[in-house]
Amino acid sequence: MSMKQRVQVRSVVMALSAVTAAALLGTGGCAEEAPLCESTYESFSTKVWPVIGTKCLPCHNPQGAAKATSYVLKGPAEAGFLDHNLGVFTEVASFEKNGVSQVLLKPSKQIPHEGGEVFPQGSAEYDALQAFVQLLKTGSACESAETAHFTGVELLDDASTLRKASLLLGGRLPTAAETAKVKAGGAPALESVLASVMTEQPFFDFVKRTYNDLFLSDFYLQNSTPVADALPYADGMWFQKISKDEVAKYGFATAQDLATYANYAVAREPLALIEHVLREGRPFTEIVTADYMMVTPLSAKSFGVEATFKNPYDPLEWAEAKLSPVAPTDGDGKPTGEAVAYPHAGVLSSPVMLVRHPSTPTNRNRARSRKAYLWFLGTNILLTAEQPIDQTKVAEANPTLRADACTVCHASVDPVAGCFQAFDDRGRFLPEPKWYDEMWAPGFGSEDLPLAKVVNGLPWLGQRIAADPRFALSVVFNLYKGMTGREPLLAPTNTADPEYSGKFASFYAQTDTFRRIAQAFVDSNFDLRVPIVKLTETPYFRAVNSVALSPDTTLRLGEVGRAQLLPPEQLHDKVTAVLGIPWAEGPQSPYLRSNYRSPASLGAFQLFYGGMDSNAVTSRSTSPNGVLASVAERMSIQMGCRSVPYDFARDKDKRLLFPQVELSGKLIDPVGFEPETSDGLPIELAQRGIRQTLVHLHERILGESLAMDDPEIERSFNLFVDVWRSGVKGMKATENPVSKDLPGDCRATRDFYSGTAFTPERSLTTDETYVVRAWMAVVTYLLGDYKFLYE
Amino acid sequence: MDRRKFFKLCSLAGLGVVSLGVPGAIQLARAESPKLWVFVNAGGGWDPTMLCDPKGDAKNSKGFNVNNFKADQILSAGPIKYPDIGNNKAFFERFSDITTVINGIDCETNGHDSGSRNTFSGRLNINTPALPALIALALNPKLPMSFITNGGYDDTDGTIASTRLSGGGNALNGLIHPNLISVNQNDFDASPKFLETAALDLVTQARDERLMSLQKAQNLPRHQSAMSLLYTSRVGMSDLKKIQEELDVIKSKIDFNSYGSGEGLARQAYVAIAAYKAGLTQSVNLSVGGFDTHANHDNQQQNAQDALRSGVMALYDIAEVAGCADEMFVVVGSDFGRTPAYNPGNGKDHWSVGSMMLMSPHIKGKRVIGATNEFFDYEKIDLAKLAVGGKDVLKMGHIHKWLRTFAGIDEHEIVRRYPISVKGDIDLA
Repeated sequence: MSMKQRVQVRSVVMALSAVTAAALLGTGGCAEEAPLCESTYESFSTKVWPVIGTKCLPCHNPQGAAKATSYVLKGPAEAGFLDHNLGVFTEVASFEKNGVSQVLLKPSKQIPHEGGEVFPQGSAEYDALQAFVQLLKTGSACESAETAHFTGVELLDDASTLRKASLLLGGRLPTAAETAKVKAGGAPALESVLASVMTEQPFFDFVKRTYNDLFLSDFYLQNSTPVADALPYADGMWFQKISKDEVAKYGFATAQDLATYANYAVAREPLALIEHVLREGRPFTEIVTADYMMVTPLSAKSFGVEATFKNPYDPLEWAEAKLSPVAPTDGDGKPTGEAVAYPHAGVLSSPVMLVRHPSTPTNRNRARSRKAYLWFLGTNILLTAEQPIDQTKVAEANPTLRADACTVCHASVDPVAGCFQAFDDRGRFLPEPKWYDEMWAPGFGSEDLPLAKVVNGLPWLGQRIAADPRFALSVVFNLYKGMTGREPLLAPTNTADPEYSGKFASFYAQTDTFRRIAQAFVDSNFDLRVPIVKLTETPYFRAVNSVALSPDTTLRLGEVGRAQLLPPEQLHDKVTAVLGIPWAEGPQSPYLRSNYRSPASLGAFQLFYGGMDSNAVTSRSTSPNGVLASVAERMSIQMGCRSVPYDFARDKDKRLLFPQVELSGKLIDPVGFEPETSDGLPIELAQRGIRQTLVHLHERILGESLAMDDPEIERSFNLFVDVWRSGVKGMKATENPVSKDLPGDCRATRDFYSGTAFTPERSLTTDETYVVRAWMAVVTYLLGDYKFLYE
Repeated sequence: MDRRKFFKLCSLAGLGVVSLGVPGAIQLARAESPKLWVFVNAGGGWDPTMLCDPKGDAKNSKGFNVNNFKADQILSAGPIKYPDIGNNKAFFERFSDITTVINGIDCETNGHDSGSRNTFSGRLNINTPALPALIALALNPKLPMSFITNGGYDDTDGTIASTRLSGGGNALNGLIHPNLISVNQNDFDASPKFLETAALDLVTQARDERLMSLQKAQNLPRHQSAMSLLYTSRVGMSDLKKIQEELDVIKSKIDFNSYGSGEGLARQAYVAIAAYKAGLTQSVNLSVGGFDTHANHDNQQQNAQDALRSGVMALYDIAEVAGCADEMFVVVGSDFGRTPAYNPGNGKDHWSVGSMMLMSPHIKGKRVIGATNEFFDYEKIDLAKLAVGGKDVLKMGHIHKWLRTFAGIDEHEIVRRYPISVKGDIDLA
């Protein structure tokens, strides 16, 4: 990295030399002795948890031998387990005998302990717990410095962070005014500009994409028949019954168009709810508590519901609605009682979600329950049971209720599954549900679902999920994955691993960061924009380099830095933002994202580039391979070829890549920069212009602010000149000379979006000097660069 | 050694001998060791009692029947028993000579994620690379598409980049020839290009130099690793062109429609075999779903199994056309088994006892290891003798320990980071 580049990044803390990391970061009261100053939480996490996680947890867990005691810990698979365990430990530690805490007396068997002596007085484990008990008594006045976890890390400055965040959240580059505002105003200005970016449609698309990666509800976009057919409430074929005149009022030519857009609206309902909550500025908890669903004029007909629209013929306008009450029926479909209101609970009760995630007679909503834990409580319930099950050893008649090997999951999963009881396997609402006595009672946590509420189990559950501290953490987890492509770290469990300490430090740094962000999210009354901005401020988003690392710090900083191979949709956005035109077969058919007019059809290279279709491919590739590299190669070559003539065909003051360059007081067009005379002598002025243009291209395409004499500018300059020389020589060849014409696919002859033909004066179809093609090579080079393909 | 020469030598060494024998029957000469590892993932948890561990409809001593097909429908191919339903007969008659069936495996879990992980990695622990990933990593990490996956359990834990192949047609041509404007031309060399070849070579050189420069100045492990993977993925990108030639050869001799529900697997195998023949691939994941038959079990399970068997038959047809059938080692497995009894919806639920099939001329065929009892519980065996009646419980870990050794990867530094903890060893050679 050049010195100039180093100037553009903010060096957080380059070394723990004479000055402490915290002091450099200005962490306030603890700055003088930062490494020794730990909060209660940090001390518990780093000193106590490694002991009790291995020595106590095996028995003192919800299904362990000590499950009936008041000292029941949670394992690392559960979001916020450290906070929970700190609370439990603190409570139990307050019980003393002769001034010695129970958490010391029991494991050292100074008083009876059914688990026997776990560690003796004077052992390292005992001393660690004793020190913490003392800390609990005296209290810690310290608030641990978040930045101390990241000593030695180099972060992007605010303006460069704005570029990355704008591309991610807004699918565009920041405007010059926005960049200037952030450069002048620093972090507060960055937050302000991002707040504006997060009012634009691409932001809502980003959030919806993030949640679809979990929900997979876009699966139904690809159904060739209307998804409404699969829904019990829907009149899937309503569009066949209306007149041509009525079809025309929606702006469509055929009833099939109506079907397509009705299908789209039904499939997109849960994601539309998320967008609606954000647009209305409501607490994000509403995604699991909303007592309504979202419909368009078309899907309202599919569902047979009433809704108020500004324009009832706008197929893409969304509005709140409620499904009609359903009466219980006998076997012949004859009503047997009064109709019961549909128990809306946001995405939990979304018809398409229930259809997309069906159940079976024996699964009994457990899969739905497991996903609710995963998506809204940040807890992968299956990880709590990562121990072998021996089928032959499970002798209990009802193992999911009675066998410890099974209850470890089922005690949590089954009660939540019971909250889904008003919906059958296909997602049909059952106004008179019947549940299973032999299962764990429906409920959540320590609370049972009241009998009077069984029909409204999901609204009851949604309220409790929204109030659970794990909800905020789950949102941070989901956003982190959407913003970086990575899963949150799990706490390591093998303390015998020689790398345990470094791995735990890495986990702790992340979990401490996330809980702070989750708290800010709660404090904002669940404004989703808050954790998003907070995440962009962390080293997980901004770290670009570090000082040379020791093996230990390498582990500690193993997750720092986004280094994300851009998913296809984001690469599409970036190409479009930087070049002004997308990588596409035509205006409606991009290669890396779905067709604009037909959201069900994927881009030709979308799956090859690691994308997903929510159907057969339900996860994204996060690292490159030969095929994926070939996609990037084709993109860079094709767009290098297309974008250069197209940019030269723009009005000179509207160019994105090749603005005119001021040389000796004159504005010169880079299209004329021949670097040498026909005798091979350098043309100094042109070469200066080439370098100036290269500085601009590096800035625009890669976000690098480089000086004219930077080695990377020199490398690009040499590439330009070498390609130009090779081309000129080829054009002079007597045998198979290189053509003066630009490649057919790359000629600028018409507007990309409107298709309107350019005038002959504006068109660019030939390249007599080979300068245009030399620029194509440079742009190809930059589009294939690590800093373009990765963020 | 120059990488291209190395690939060429690999390719030459891979030209195994395919005997002609009776059409439709596999009689393969043995190559020295398998060169292509194929893992077929039957997603959702298959029912071995409808495949290679049949029980029939006779009521057991607890008074229920495990299957609905008749006991006299159970046929044999040597010691391998199978029910005469679906395309079982065609499958086992063709492949029994090269198939070792392993029954009565204690899968140790009945969760899908952990089950498929255990079956295809030998460990329950999360973040364990699938065996095909470890094989690719240990044997040929620098091949451009060393590990191809079409789904199933394909975690690599970041040890090697996997290549996901979906779609095909002109898009694949566009990737094989990224500098060609039109990818529909018959003569690729004469097709118009975006950039002059000389210019593209200069671009590539400058790009690689810059990447190395960036990497040299980088200290954060995530960025370093990302740059390394990008570089590795680009190495030999042009070798993808070789796939095209192999695809053309195969395509002209295979009728994909003839595989019915196995066509999906057939198309996965098509690209995978072509990539292997092009010298780009060491291991492959193929996957087919539909086995999680909690309701209407018999029909749905048989449909899924027919697709699986038909797909494996297609795999061998394609490999024979490509001349590499005897170079393959094929592992066919699923998340776990299904309950011995039917549930009220005529479905079968998850059951942590299962089976696996190993298919290759490199191991003994017409053999069954392990067993289950009338309740479809595993029987204990003697691991050393591979005989039923001992004191040992056969687990996925035992099979994978042997597979790792047989593949010659057990001592690899990275493979050793994922130890298999089961006690005892088996020898399936």
